[in-house]
Amino acid sequence: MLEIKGVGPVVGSKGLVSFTTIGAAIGTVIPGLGTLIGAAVGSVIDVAINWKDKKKAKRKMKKALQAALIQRYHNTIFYSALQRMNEAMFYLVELGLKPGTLDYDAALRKKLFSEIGYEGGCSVKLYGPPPDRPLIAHIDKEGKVIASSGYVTQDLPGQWKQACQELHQATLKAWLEMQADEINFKKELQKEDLDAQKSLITRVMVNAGAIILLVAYSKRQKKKLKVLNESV
Amino acid sequence: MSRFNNLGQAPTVVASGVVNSALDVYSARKLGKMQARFVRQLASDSVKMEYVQFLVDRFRILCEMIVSTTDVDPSSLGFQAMLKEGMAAYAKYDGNCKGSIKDPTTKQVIGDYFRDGRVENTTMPKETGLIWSTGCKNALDAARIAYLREDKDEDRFAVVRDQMTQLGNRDTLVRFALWGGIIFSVLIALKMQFRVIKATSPHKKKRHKKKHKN
Repeated sequence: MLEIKGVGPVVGSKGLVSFTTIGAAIGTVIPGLGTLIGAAVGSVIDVAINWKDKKKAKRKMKKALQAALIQRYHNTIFYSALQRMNEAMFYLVELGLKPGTLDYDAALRKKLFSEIGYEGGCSVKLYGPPPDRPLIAHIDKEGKVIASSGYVTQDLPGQWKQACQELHQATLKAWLEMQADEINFKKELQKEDLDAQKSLITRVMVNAGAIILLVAYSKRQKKKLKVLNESV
Repeated sequence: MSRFNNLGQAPTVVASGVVNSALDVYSARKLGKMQARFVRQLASDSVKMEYVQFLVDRFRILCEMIVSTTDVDPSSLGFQAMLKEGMAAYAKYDGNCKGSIKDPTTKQVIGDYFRDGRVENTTMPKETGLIWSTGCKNALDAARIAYLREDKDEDRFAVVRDQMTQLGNRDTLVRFALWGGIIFSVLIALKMQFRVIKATSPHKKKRHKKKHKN
């Protein structure tokens, strides 16, 4: 329908000129009755168009509400995938795999491919649950959004790579902490061993000193005894 | 004549105006109701999702509890059986993240939940399926992590115990050797001392002299 920008439609029940007016104007060809009939026909058209508009608005609103529900569902799938990835990554770290290595990424892919569609290197083909399995987002290794369901919040797929990298950093930090803990444990064991060795050496030295003193004393007495025996 | 024309147009303008206004009011009320229903649905969904989240939290705590109080491997069937027992009040857990959630008040099954996020036979929102499956899988992974840590702690404890035993044995051996050495040298020193005392005593000297005179 003809519309003036910023003003609204030219013709119609909400327009500048209603169909009732147009009908009445056309009806003036037959003065009196013609105007009445023309206006009546025009007003029926106005009401019909208005009714149609309302129905359209209702349909549009219903669709928008449904879209909001689908968006909530798709967003939940997106967040669930990240939550799942987080725990799985920490589990692999606990198994002793170092984040950032090829082995780690291969293990992560093996664990998460069937669950969330993780393809390795932060690339993902995210699907919803069966039976319909809607494609939520397909994101490549560079973080480029190749395909999206259109329902998931617009800037979410773009944030996948950043979230994935942050998870990798967090797991790497956890791995380093684990390694540091292991080194500390070994250091403590060595320290314990060294301390025990030191205390043993000290004890041996002190006791050996005492034994040497006693042996020296015994030798001296033996000599003294020899001298005494000779003098007698 | 134009006056009559205007008069002819007037009732229809009024009538269409009234009908259109009535239509506007009716439509606005309908849309309003639709919106209110949607808001109610969101609120109800939110409560249902919170309930499933509560179950997931409970499931996680149960997993941690089993790991910390028993030696059962979280990947074993025994672990799943224990979870089944532990969740009985809230859900009919079949194992491997599959189960039927019960209504907290009526204890009737309100939905079948699957490992892949599916949810069947329910009026619960679809999101609850995702909350359950993600939460369940994460809880099992967390249990595996806790189990591995406990295993590692036990290994460390064994290493420390072995080291302590080894050091203790070495210490005992050295102590024994040193005390043996000291006692031996003290005995020798005492023996020598007694001999010297005996040799220097005046009684002994006299006996010596007598012997030589004879």
